[in-house]
Amino acid sequence: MDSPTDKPKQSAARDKPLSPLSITFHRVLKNRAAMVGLAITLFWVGCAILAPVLSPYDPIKMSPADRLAAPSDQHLLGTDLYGRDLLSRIIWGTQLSLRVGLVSVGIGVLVGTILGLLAGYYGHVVDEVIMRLIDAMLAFPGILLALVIVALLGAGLANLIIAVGIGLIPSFARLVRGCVLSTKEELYVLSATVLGCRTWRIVLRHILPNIAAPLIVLATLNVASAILNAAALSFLGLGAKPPTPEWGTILSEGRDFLRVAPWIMTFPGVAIMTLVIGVNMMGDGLRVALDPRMKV
Amino acid sequence: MWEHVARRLVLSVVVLWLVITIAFAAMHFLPGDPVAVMLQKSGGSAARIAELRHQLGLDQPLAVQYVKFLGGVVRGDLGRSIFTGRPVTEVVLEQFPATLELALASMIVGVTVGIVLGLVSALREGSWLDNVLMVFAVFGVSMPSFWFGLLLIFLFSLTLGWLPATGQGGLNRLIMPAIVLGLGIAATIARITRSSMVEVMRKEYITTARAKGVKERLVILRHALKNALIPILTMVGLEVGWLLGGAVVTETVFSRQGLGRLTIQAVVQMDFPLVQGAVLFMAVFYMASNLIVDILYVAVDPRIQTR
Repeated sequence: MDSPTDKPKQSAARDKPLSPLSITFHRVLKNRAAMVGLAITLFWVGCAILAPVLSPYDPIKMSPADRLAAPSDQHLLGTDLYGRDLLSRIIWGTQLSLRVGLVSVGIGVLVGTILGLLAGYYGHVVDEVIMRLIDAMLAFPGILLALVIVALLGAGLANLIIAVGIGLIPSFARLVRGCVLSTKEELYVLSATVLGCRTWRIVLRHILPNIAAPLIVLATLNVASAILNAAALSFLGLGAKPPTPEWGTILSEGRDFLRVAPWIMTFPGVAIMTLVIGVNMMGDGLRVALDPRMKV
Repeated sequence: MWEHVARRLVLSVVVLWLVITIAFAAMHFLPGDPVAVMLQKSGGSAARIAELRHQLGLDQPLAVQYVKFLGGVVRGDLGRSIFTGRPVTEVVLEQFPATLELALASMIVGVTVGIVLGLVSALREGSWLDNVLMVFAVFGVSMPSFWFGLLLIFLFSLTLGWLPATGQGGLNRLIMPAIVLGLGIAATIARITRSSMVEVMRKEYITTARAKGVKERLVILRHALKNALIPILTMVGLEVGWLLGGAVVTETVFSRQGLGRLTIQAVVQMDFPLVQGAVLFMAVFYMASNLIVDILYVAVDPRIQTR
């Protein structure tokens, strides 16, 4: 039972204004689409973490007797040309897709943020040089920049991650620069400058936390496009090499068996699409939560 | 107005120079050695490596190589394909019409479907139809184009036998690739059209037009849509990039000729001058499209002229 002295405390707690983080959290919780997206994403994250437990077979072990077997009780999603269980390959593939998405976005965020901070904070020549370079990178449409980088570094998962990551740098650099330009004129940043704060401290303690929100939204949405681009490059034979269970690679292997074994291309496609839908819905929800004016 | 166009032109020249420089730098400064990668498969001898270096001009000082490359690009000379020995410019120009045909068809599909869906969604804001259309838009941007292409081939070519699965020529071979490439554009344009129209429909001039008794159809088409066009136009310019990138995948799935498939073949064959030339050509085309869109703003929004 509450003691009489607890009541004013509770009331004070109720009156206390919510922090921006709590407001955002509540808005995301209220956004049905974002919650559906979060649930889908968590489902795939769970699959990735529990892959050794969930996967019924070894994803790369061949079983010639079971080749091109249709979905059945034994193989829920069927098998591929080499008799490998598709369900197991898709479950293990989740790890790769998420790794590619997260690490490449990490590269994009890290390099893009540094370039954006330098351009926005120092302005003048630094800004001009960096932003023209970013404009030039943006002139390479779609996945073409990643394609050139993979071509030069050679096919493979690590190179694929680097290539997709480099392709994401321009969008982060532009966003961060724009945010820094408006944030650095704020009174608290000017005060810190007047008080003699060191540049790195101003950037890390006062500017960066204030541009985190749009950065998180863009990063989330870019995880989705990174997964799509990586799957596309793998489909084209420039990503993970067989027998690695990567979704784009599995789909590509199913291309030649469309007529006799359509399940090989169907299920990895469903996996890619649902994961990307989940991340996109989550990103959209975050965007609405962090800035309701941006609702689309 | 002309000042705005001139400024954009000058800026484009600077960016173009940087694009060419990046294309050059990619060959020379990335950790991978093009010659080593090219000869990886055949296991080339030292003599063969030296010969190829000489052929590519890689044995000359870097500054000389750069100036030569820059001069070549300005003259339209992008070098020669290592695999066929043909001039890169000739090969690229030969494949370009096929990609342009696909890009235009996809753009028509994407913009038409996108604007119609976005309009319907905005005019029925908050309804079940709006929700269904926006779910479609999320599906559209999330669906891997290569998978969608294979699904269409499976359904319309292999199962129903209505359309040819691969190849070139004729409208029936263009329908599926155009739908595949247009879907992503339709989804993006639908989202932008919806948000832009929802915003415009709340403006006072729309209320005024309605109060004057203007028919609803005219209010939507003449007053609202025209004002909502700017963000849509921006998106159309940016979508050219999606089309060129997407063409790489779509042309491969449908075994069509074009710049995209040419680039992939060049990557697989390690034909670096051809990769460099094809990508450079697409980048310049993309820049030119965005420049045209920038100039078109003036036609759509006369306020820009006075700024």
